[in-house]
Amino acid sequence: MALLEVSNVTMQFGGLTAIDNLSTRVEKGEIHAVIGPNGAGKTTLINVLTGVYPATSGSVSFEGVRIDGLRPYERVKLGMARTFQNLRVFPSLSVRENVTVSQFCRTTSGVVANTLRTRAVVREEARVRDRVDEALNFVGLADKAGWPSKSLPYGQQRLLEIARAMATEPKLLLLDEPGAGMTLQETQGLGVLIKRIRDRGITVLLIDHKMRLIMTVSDVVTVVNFGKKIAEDTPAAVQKDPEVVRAYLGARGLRT
Amino acid sequence: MDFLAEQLPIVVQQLIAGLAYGCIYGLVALGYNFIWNAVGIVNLAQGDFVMVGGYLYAASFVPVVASWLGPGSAGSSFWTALLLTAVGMVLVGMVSQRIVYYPLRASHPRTIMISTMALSIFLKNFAIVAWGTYPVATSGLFGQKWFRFDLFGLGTVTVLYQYVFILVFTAILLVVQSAFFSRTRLGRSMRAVAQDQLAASLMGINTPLIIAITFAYASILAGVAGVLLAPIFLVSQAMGSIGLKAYTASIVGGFGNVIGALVGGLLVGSIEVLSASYVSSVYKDAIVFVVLIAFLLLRPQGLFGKKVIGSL
Amino acid sequence: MGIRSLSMKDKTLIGIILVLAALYPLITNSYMKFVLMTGIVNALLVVGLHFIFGLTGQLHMAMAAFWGVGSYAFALAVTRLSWPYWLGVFAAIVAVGLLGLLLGFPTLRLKGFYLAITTIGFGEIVRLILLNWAPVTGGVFGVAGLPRPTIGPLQFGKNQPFYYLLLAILALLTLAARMIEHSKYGAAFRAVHDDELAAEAVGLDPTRLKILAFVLCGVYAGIGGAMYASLMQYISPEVYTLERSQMLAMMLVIGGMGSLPGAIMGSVLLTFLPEVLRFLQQWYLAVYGAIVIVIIVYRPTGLWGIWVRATEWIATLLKRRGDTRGAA
Repeated sequence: MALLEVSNVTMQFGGLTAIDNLSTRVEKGEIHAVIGPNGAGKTTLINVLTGVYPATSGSVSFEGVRIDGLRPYERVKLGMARTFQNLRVFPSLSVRENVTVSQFCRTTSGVVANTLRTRAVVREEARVRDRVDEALNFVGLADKAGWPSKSLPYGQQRLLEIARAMATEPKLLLLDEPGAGMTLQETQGLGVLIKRIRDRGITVLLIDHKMRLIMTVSDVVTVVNFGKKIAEDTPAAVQKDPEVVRAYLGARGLRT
Repeated sequence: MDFLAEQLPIVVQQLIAGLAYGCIYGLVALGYNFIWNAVGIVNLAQGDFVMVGGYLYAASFVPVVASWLGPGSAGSSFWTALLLTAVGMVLVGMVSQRIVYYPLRASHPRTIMISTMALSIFLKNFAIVAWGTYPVATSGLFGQKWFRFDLFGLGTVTVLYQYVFILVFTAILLVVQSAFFSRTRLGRSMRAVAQDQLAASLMGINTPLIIAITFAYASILAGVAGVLLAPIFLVSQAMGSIGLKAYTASIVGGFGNVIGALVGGLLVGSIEVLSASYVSSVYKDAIVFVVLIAFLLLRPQGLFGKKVIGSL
Repeated sequence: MGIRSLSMKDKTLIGIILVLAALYPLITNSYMKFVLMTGIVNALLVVGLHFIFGLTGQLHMAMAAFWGVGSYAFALAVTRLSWPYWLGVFAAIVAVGLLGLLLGFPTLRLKGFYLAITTIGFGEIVRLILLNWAPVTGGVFGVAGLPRPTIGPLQFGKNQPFYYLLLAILALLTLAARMIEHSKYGAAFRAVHDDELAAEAVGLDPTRLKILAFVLCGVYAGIGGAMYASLMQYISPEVYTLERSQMLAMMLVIGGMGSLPGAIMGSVLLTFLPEVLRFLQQWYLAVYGAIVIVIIVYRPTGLWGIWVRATEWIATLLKRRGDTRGAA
């Protein structure tokens, strides 16, 4: 059983078909990349998978359970987390608080208990603090925990989003162009980080433009163009696929 | 059937009143929409502009103009006072936007809403200082004169001249307005700013000035509503409550939509008048707000609005 | 935990409560004492509004309806039903909490100005019901003969003991609000305020959190409503108007959005401002409105922002003096 199974998903906005009858499987423990030229429907795919848009038709299953009708936060609870292509950290929260809210869905204490700060709440908070520290350490932001999130440089805000997603304790992490706006050096660090995420047993679905990143980290690459899947194979095989080369040659070469 | 035939003249009579009120709401709703389209905020003091317009006309200009022109000049003093009120409202609109909108233009819309709320409180209390706490009566062109006509032999319908005047006046105003927006340079600039502020300023339009003019025009509309309403609805601080009904009208019609504002206004006015006589006079306003909430929950884009509202 | 380990906000909160406690005997005019009591009741309501308006960022303009239903639920329970005082207060809490739930549901979909107009309409509907459902609410005549509380042998009938009871309730409810604000709920509320889509993406249910904020606000408004009724000993529908809702929202904004000490400062000072301006005679309310506009437009961080800057300024001044003394 695949961790995530996408079957014949179509997404239409008015007359525009952003995703056209797309099927794919994300297996447990792999780094699965989705690439394609700009406007190929990659971000739309993430939004459909995470429940921001309901698919026009088709179905999505997570661990063998259909999740099409679930709200985004319900999918998070099942173990799907995401980052955003255009950064969406919570500006009025500190770096630590940004990650702390991700633990909300993994805790059970109620308002009254929190008002009284019962012993159970104190214990829960200690556990949450450990998880948050771990997530911040994992991406290397532990020393900036007290910073206002807006004051982080761009690349570090991306890392903060990853820490925030990790703190929801996902089984599947969907990264929407995590390398956008990063320097070459930062991108290399990101590649290492993505592999470390996988090594923790978290499956990664990665969307990006940066070919070098995709080719070095992914186990499987799905290529989409105009919302259709045109190839799906190992990075090495995909690079040689004539249809993929054709789709890319107009826009940019595969080497980048 | 007899019952229906009996009721018909009464319903027609009330509908005419409802439509007249509806025109008033529609005019004020248009003001909300123009400001919304231009700068994406709601001016919660719009209803108080109606009150200021009513007072400027009834308490300030009518007595002054009448004393200039002497007795027997009801017609010319009405038009002169109306014109003066419009000029006064331009000032009110310009000054208001300079104080409560312009300095905050980059802030969160919520902050601007609060500042227009403070403006509303200021205007209500300023009205007490300037014009006292007693309601002011005025006669307008027709006073409380009414006429009757026979409805297909079913019965007599009694209508205030002022109601008919409101309908005609609003219709003419809308024709002039639409010519203004399509034919004149200023009107086209206002439309350009409403569509896309950035593009408009790139095209060399003085956007801040056009926004100020939009506020001024919205307050003229509110002021005119106050003048039209004055003879049938004593001028008092309570006039500010028109603002809420008009806001309802613009939502029912579809926020930001010009035709919607008018249709919404006519609908709200009719619902109000009919529910006052057939459901409950004390709960007529409550019924209007129930309609409002029902619209917001079931059809938030209103009758004529676009489907997507996005993150308002 | 020493006083030094407290945050500036907490220290200011304690300071405000102490100042309010000291203020009552210092005011000699009995009318002004009563105004101060009204200020405390307003602060109860504004601290409740803080959950929705300040933390969650929802434009809630039906506060007067919440407050009015609290007053009426209490008043009717203790008069018509002859319930004991504190059971009446409990009834008020439950009634407004439920009202919060009822109003919270429409916010599933509505945002910004749409929510504002819905709550305004809701508030007007409630006001009209209070005014016109005479068999139950007493219509324009309202409900009279409302009691002041007793707790065991303690009597709070006189103004002075009742004032200190009100202050104790305010201190307790502010502490509770502060605890919630610092808990995971506070952060979750602010996350919803910042970005609902991102909030959903990290597993928060914005709808549930918004309804929770409305219910919490309802609890505070229930207590505030009951205390107002008990303070006045008579209620009538004409005070629970949209203007009052606007007034309460402005107290929060003037105090400084999103800060509890600011909420209390704003409530007490804005309750007093009209009284202080009375020497202006008929002009006083117009000047009041103008002052509010000036603060909102030119001091958007409100009284709390002014206070923070003032204390920083004093701190650097003291430090500089200490430095020169050290040098000499």
